Amino acid sequence: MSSVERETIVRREPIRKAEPTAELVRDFWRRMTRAYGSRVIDKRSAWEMRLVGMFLDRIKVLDETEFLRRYTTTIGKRIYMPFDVGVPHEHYSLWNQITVCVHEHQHVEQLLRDGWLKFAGRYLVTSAARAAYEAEAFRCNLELHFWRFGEIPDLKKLARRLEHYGCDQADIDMAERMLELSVATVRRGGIVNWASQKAISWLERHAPELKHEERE
Amino acid sequence: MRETMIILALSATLEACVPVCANMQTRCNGPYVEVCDKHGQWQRTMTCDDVTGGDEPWVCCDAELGDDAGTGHTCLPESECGGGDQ
Repeated sequence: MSSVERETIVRREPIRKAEPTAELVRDFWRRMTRAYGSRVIDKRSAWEMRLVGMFLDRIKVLDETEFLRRYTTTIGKRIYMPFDVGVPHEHYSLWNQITVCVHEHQHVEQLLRDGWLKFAGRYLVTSAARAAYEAEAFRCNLELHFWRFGEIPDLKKLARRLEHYGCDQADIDMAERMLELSVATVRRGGIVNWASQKAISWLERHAPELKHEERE
Repeated sequence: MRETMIILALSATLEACVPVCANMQTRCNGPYVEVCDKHGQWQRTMTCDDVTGGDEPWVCCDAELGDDAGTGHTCLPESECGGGDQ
């Protein structure tokens, strides 16, 4: 085999991306919850979440089982999770468990920044403000995705998640626009959200193998 | 005194309901990037002073976003914002 052929084969080999380990994911969650003073609660057995689920089901926003099995919910500094940290779940791979941790802690940042009254009032009363808060937290998903893969995720798909948050098409379009504006910053190496900054700084030190390779 | 407080509260509420911008419009408000919502109210989306990464300070300006997203206000390194709408 000539060196050119060998080189071609080597180049065609798929680049195997390192995967986070269960231990890393657990350490990451420990670090973030300690930094924010947040608490992780099993959503599946939390009576208050069952009540919320029944209410959402009753008003036809979301199916109760779906709400309890699929969605992570943050109220104040309490993070209700439908999975065990470090155990892959049908809706949460180990990497997704890292990104959801950052997303939820950005909501904690919003609470610390705006205060209970403003945050809860705006989030619950107007769908446009809710979409803005969620778009900001989705930016964590965007920033973490870019750090790991060097690519921009599907922004439409991210924004469409707001369909389950009582938001209409105008809110979803605005959220997508907010994410588009963030892309210009993220592509130039900027990290906007504080929760992402904390997370990426920790990952750079403890799991640099997860980061995408910089292109020449 | 009570009446004055009620009038002030009412006018603040009414003021919040009057549209002040066109849906999806963007602007820089100091270091803040804001987007206009469906009610014609500004929603803050980014604070350029908070952005980390790179060697330069990040500032808000109007720029080409790429990927068919047109133009819009965003946070960019200071040297890329020269002459932009800030």
